[in-house]
Amino acid sequence: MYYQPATAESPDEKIGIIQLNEGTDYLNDPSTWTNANSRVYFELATVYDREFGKHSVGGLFVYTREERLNTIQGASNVYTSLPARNMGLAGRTTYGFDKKYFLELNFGYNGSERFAKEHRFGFFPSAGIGYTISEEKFWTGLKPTINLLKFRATYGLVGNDAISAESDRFFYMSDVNINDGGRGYAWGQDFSTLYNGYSISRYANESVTWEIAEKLNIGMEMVLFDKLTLQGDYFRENRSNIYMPYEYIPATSGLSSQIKSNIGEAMSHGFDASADYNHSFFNGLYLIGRANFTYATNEVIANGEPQYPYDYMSRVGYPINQMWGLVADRLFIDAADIQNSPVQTYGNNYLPGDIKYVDINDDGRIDENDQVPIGFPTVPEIIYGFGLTAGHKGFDASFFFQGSARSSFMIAPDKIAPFVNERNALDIIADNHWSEFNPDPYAFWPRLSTTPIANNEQRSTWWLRDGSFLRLKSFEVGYSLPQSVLQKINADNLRLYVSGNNLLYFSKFKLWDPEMGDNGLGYPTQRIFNIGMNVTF
Amino acid sequence: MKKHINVLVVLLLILFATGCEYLDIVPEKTQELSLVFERKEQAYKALATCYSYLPKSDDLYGSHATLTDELTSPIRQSVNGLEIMRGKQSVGNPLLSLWQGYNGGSWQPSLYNAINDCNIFLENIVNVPDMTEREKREWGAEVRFLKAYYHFLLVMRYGPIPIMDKNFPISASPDEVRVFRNSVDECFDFIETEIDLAIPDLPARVTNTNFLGRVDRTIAAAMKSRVLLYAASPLFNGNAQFYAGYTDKNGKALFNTSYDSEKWGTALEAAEYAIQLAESNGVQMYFFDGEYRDYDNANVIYDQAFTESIYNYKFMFVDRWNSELIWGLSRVTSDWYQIQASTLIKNTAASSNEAAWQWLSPTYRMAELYYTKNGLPIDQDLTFDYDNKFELRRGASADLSVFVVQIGQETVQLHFDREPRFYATLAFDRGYNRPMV
Repeated sequence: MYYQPATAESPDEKIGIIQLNEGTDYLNDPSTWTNANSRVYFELATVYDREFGKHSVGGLFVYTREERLNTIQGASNVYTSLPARNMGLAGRTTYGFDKKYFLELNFGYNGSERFAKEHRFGFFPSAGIGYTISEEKFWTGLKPTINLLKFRATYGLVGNDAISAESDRFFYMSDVNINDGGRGYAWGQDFSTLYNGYSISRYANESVTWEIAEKLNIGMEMVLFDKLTLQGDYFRENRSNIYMPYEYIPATSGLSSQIKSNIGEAMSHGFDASADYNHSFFNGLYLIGRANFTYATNEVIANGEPQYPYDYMSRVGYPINQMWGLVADRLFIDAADIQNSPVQTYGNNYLPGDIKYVDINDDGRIDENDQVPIGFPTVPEIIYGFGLTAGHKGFDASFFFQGSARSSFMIAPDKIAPFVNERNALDIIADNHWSEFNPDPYAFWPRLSTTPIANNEQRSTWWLRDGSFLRLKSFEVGYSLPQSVLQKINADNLRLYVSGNNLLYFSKFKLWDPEMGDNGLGYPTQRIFNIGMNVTF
Repeated sequence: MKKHINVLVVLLLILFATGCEYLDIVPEKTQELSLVFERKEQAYKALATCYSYLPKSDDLYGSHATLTDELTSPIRQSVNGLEIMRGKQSVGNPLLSLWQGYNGGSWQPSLYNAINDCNIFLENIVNVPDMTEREKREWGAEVRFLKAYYHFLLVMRYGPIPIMDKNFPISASPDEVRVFRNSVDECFDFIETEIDLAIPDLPARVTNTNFLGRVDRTIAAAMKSRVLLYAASPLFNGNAQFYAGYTDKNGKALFNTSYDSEKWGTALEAAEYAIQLAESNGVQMYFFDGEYRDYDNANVIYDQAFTESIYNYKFMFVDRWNSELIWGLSRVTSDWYQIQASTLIKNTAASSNEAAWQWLSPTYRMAELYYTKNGLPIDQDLTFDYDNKFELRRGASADLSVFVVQIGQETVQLHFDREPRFYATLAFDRGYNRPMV
């Protein structure tokens, strides 16, 4: 209300207008729940495809407009109730010659409602070439051995505008709550002249724009003896313009929320290979083999982090999923041992039997400045699998192994701590813990307690474990009845089988299935056995 | 063919021309900061925001009062001040840090955040259309004072600090925002100048009962006197003992190391001006003028001066907006973590929320520190039996103990024959608790 309701005083009472609801002269957050979603999609495409002798030429232009509106989760914020809109023009030209040489050029010119006018559109070109060398004339002699050999390479840019939460997506506008009770103040004799304040949860940043991934892929495909197919790819992705906070802005700037912008950069690369083998022998034995292997690693190149007092605290140069933690030395032996060690700053107190950490920076205190990168990343760098199916006459058998390597995880002591929340003790803790009668400084479990001990629950090498494993993912044996029997029972097909999933695994970590992660008392990975019969009439 | 392409190109051009608007979907008048300065009623919110950063000293978890050895908690509570006393202060997770902000019972933002909002206010208050020039100047002066006061609170805790007289634009480079500290003298000069700029525009005294707690000239002058007292004190005035050679990366000395007696002169002037201004605006010594509690009615006859002293001293702290108060805190914590709730005698009938939990008590040192009824330290008053201070004694009606110990009840000798401030301040077993009525 622009005007305050008037009041007038009569001799015995105050007369006034009661204002039941106050409107605002600005667009407020919606207060009603409407559950609706809609999508409007408009596309205009033109396609051109033609062959001239050995030349094949193709062209494509697509214009798209898309509007998505979803108010189901949008009740709390005016911005989530606004539609998300994209528009773009994409084009592709392809050229092929004699089924040997291929060239493809693409582009995308895309606009998003999220960015300021000057930064709304992004141009993302890409190109690819292919060469099937096995189609060449000189290859004719090799053809029976190497049936197919093909090289390919692609390079291009890909844009991403979904770089934050829906409610936080209008980067060029500030997000201000101009009626924030948490920032209010009261004056007056009875503290009753109360005014709400304002709070800024995002500062307007006009320059925010598309995140860009620069992708390179070089691959080959080969078929040998019509039986073995090999594929290999090297890939590299350089993501830049990642929307991240400027963490280096000091507190003295007085900003009430972090400024974020397109400042992050990360690189990932690796290779991917697979082999397929398929062979039938004359005597009815057949073999199908499969194997795959992927290695991928990544690295943070820029992240706007603050100036850390020590170099080892910097995340730059490490994988995105790298863990930082303290280096555990052993368990404290006695009070004198604690006295003669650097002060540990976690929790209210620590006693003999608690974890003693290494003072990396030698300042006499164990705190977050002593955290160093430890272990492999939490996401495995190597994933592989292999399997074989074999059959002979009515019998068939198959198995598939799956494995991962170069990953680490951390046991979460707070999730398995015995007696806390009336929890039971795992065998390993019952058998191998520190106690006054058995003060083993290298026991698996430090001092027992009925309440959490913060000192022992810090991320540290004490709880760091190797996450690699190899698992027999599936195994199956079957027998199909021969035709002679089938005819008697008037069936087309009858197969009996026994199969199992997750039958065994091999890992350095022995306490529980490493795929359960940090929590040994969590829901276990299931082992499944099936006995079955398939009949077709 | 060519024709088709032309048609296509024209069509695409049309679609793209309308495209810019297609992507413009945010309507006018969403919540923006400029709305706060569109009219006076809204501008109060900006003013409230600037005040909201005043440290919540009545919040047990956020108060700096628990940093002293006057108070402690008999049970293990993670009260920030007590945690610091236990050696838990750290660089990585600084407790009670007004520089970075901290969690007390409620969130206390960084005072640099406060200064940033004060700067926003000072830049924009001139834009409010429905305020008179005089109002704008008055409000501006209040916020200018707050900005100086927030700097002062930081100087009190950190010594040399970066002065943030202007806000940085969002596009400022990392080198711009990484500021250097100003020297202690520069800080004090800045604070004094800002308060001096504010004083002429402030009202002499806020008397409107709806707005008690807002800054006026009497408050600003008093605070200036305190600021100059700090500047003159040996901590900041020629502190060569501790801060000789205390420089920043560029070699700039952050502390002055030569003592300047002139600073006491300016501090004295400021104090005299503050006192004169306060007195002329009705600030004066407080005398209790309410009803005595029932059990004290008889005592008044016995020793009127003693009884009055207890009431004067106690209610000088407790009586709202009394005449001795220069700047009252008008935003009070009503949550369970308010500092007062934790000092009261436990109310077992109250719900756990907002109940008195007796978390906070004076240290024993404080119980000894108050003087005897003769105004002497308890170990130096010959009439006080210091060696037998823990012996029991029964409260009788025939002596001074009638004020202090319930008649016929026993308590230790330590609680007898003490000065009025002792009885006004501390509660003890079998003593009287004189609540506000």
